[in-house]
Amino acid sequence: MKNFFAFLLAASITAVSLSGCGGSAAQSSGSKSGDAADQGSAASAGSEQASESKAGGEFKVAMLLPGTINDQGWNAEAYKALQAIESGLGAEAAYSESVPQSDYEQVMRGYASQGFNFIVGHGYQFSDAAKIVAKEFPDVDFCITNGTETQEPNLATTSVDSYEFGFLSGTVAGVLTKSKKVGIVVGESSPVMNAFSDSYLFGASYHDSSITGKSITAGTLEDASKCKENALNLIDDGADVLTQMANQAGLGVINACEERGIMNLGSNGDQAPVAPDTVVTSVVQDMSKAIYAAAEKSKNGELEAKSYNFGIKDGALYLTPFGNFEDKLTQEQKDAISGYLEKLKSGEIDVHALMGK
Amino acid sequence: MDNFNLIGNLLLSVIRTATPILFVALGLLVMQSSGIINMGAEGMMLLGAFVGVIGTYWTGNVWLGVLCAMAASGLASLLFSYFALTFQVNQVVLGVAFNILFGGVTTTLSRSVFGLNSAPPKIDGFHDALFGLPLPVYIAFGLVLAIHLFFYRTKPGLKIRAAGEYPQAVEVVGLSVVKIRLLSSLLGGLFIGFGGAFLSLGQLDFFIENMSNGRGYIALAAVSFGKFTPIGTMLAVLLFGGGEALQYRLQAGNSIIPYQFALMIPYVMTIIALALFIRNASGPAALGKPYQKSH
Repeated sequence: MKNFFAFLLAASITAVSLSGCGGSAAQSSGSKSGDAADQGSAASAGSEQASESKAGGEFKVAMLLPGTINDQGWNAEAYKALQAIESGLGAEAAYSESVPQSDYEQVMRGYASQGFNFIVGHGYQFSDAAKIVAKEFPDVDFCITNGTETQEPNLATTSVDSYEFGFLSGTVAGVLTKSKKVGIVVGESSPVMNAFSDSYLFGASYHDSSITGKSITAGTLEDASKCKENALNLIDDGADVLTQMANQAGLGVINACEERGIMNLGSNGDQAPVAPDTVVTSVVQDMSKAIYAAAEKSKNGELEAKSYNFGIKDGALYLTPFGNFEDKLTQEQKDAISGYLEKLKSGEIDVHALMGK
Repeated sequence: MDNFNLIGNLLLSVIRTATPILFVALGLLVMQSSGIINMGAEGMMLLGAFVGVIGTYWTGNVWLGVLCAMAASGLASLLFSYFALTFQVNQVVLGVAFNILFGGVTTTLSRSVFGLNSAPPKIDGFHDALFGLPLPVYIAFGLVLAIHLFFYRTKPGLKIRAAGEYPQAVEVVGLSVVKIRLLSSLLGGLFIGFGGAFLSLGQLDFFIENMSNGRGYIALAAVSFGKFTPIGTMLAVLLFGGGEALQYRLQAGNSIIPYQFALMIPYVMTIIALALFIRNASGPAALGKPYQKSH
């Protein structure tokens, strides 16, 4: 990790010096450089070097990820957001994957001192580190996805509602199950995963109070075989609809369901391509939307130290098309599912009020 | 679910969990018996898991994939011992270097071959052959017996153990310690590769970054726990696998045990067993020491 960090440091120093040379080219878009210049003067308290890089017309975004960018879920969504920010906001982007907890502060500090303007910690677990580093760099905007704490003047959180997320998955599972038993495997015990798991079980029994659910904490975000064994045990116990939230380890659950021919729901991203014959639909938590919105605000200098929250009505949570299950689901099932979507969208069902959270 | 099914499923779960670790532990046992302590097993297992998938993906045959995995890990293991024996590099440090190296190599190659934002490619892995278990499971347990006989009933087996126990004696009778250790490493590396390949081809049908997730280290511990014998190693691996399987079952069943305690079970069981049953688990006398000819 240290080597990687050193390499990153070297690479971004090179990148900064290169972009410094080609300054005129970077200012080709008039409005963009104007924005950045405003920002630069607003933040002129920074060192000479920092203001210089801002005058170069760059909006630089860095992201710290707890996992790898190809997990087809949580981290992949963040990477998608980063790509969108790169093209949509003309930002220069960098990221670090699978950052170990011990390095959170160090990596954030590294990015902040290299002149990055907007630093995202992808997950609540980055909160504590961000609170410390944000104080040291008041000119840099920090944002924690699914975070729980904000801090004046420069630490915000941006989230997709985990309760709506879990509830939607749970009601879909409730509609699909025949054995009246549903299951869920989460990677670890964290505020987001617990909220997802609780509201999943709640959603299933909200649909039909005779449905029982079982949640398993696998204790890993990497070990797919472990999650697979957990899923197989749930299936042995009669669960016939499963879902998971465990970064790349969650792929083990999908694999278990594919092997046994059990219906399951993707989560975070569109996971149907992993096992099109058993993944009925995916509940997509479009974190990229939430992250992009925060980045846009930061670029315009409008990011406040508050919690930005997005849900079904903002289009940040949605179901993917049924794919191979388009013909296998009954019209009744489809109507029930779209009914829940509508009610959640209109606010007729308020998950937080129902669950008292 | 009736009790018969419950016990059956639990046993299957034990064996599924234990098999990849058993392969790696047996490979390590062969290496350690000859005097090489391979801390890089974790990385080599990962290499096996990756090459197994790539090989199967390209050749379309799972057994060819396994052969590729075995070859890759065998070569890696040979390289490891070459450094350890020829340059006399500290074997623990070398092992850590190998783990980091193969962690990075497999990640980079997997991304360049399979791409980033796409589902892992479908490959046709091992299918259940007998009693709901795939064939490599039987190979793994067969290997335990084979290595037992090899070690205690054949001359080459004796030579390997002698190289680990008292290399000077091997040199005195005109054999090359280095050669014996290199060959043991090759053999051990083949088993480690099979273990890695079973993880990706027997359990999941795809490769995930860092999917070995500590199993190499558990295998390393199992060898010492098993007092450096094939049977003992197998029992140690089964104990750990049993703990894991019990943990899965307890969490899936409607138990009131908090998940943190469930997750502890395999480790607590191992510690208790270590404390109760293990006396004098000293390994081969020359383990981890580079051999220098005396003049």
